[in-house]
Amino acid sequence: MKFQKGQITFFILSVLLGYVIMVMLYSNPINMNQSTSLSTVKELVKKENDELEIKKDYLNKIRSLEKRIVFYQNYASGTSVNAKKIQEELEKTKVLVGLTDLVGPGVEIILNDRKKETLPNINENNPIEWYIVHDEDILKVINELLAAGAEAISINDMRIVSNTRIRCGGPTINVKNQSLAPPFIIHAIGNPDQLNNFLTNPSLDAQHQMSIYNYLTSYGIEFTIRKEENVKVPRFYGSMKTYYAKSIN
Amino acid sequence: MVLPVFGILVGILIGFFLPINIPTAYSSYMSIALLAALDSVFGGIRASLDKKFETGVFISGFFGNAFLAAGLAYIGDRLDVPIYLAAIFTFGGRLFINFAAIRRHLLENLKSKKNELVNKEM
Repeated sequence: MKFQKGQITFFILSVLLGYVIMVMLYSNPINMNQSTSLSTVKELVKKENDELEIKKDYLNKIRSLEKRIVFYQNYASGTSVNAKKIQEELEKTKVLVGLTDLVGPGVEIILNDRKKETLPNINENNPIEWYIVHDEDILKVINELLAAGAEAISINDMRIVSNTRIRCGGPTINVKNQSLAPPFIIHAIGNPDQLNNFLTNPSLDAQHQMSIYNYLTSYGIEFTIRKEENVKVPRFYGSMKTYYAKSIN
Repeated sequence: MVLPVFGILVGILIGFFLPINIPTAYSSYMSIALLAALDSVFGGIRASLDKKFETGVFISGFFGNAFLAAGLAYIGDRLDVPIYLAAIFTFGGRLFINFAAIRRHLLENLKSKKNELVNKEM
């Protein structure tokens, strides 16, 4: 076989090309039907931004309308002593129901799925579902927070109110009428030490001697609790009408 | 002709045992660079069949085109102009032209070898 000049470099660069081809095959999953392409991701991100913009507009509208209500209320409360008392009562009720932004000492909790790099072998006996945050986990955390005397709780800035449902939504968790995705950031106002204790102290659990913190971190789920001086819990936005229930008095 | 194809196979084997992960953000630029490199190798094969192969031209084309294509694609992404399309059309088109030339070359070689055999038999 005759060697033309530069055949060696040709060979070496061909090896490099083959290597790069293989690297690309590895970094792009071969099963293209199951993965999301970069352009789709870009499109979805743009869509999300548009929707967030619309949401912002609606929120601004709600705020300006509510400002007008407050203006009328203030005007009405100035007319008589009784009206003033009613308005004070109304403000207190708003705080209880969750219609005001609140601030106070409490905890910030971040719950996140286990990182992909640290996942063990996933198979039938060891399913991926063990390593993600479920609706039950969040329900348990919120239950502990309420047990510890939390006065206001929000998940990803969604205020928990009396009729908030927390339910599995497949890859997301539905809270009230919104779908939330990890990481879940829970803010709770209350005694920080007590909130922390209820989440982490294993001796408080009579059955298994295992706190929710022990339980979730044993699966490698990210669970951080930070005590803070000023936790902000946003108000609830949405309708709170009752159609069936009537007051007895 | 045999050497570069063998080289690509060796590279694929190395990649099979030593895979590295490219961040998703760079993978689109990487694929454009890959196309440019593929074009260079095909061009090299064609040139060596034509006995016009020059090492300098090949090496500069291999790296120069790859980096230029990836760089232009990056700038295009930044400016929101799909410059990467230019790279795809240029290198993709040339890939087919080069492949056609290589094919014709090989078919002619085959034909002439057959003729030689026939001549020998006669």
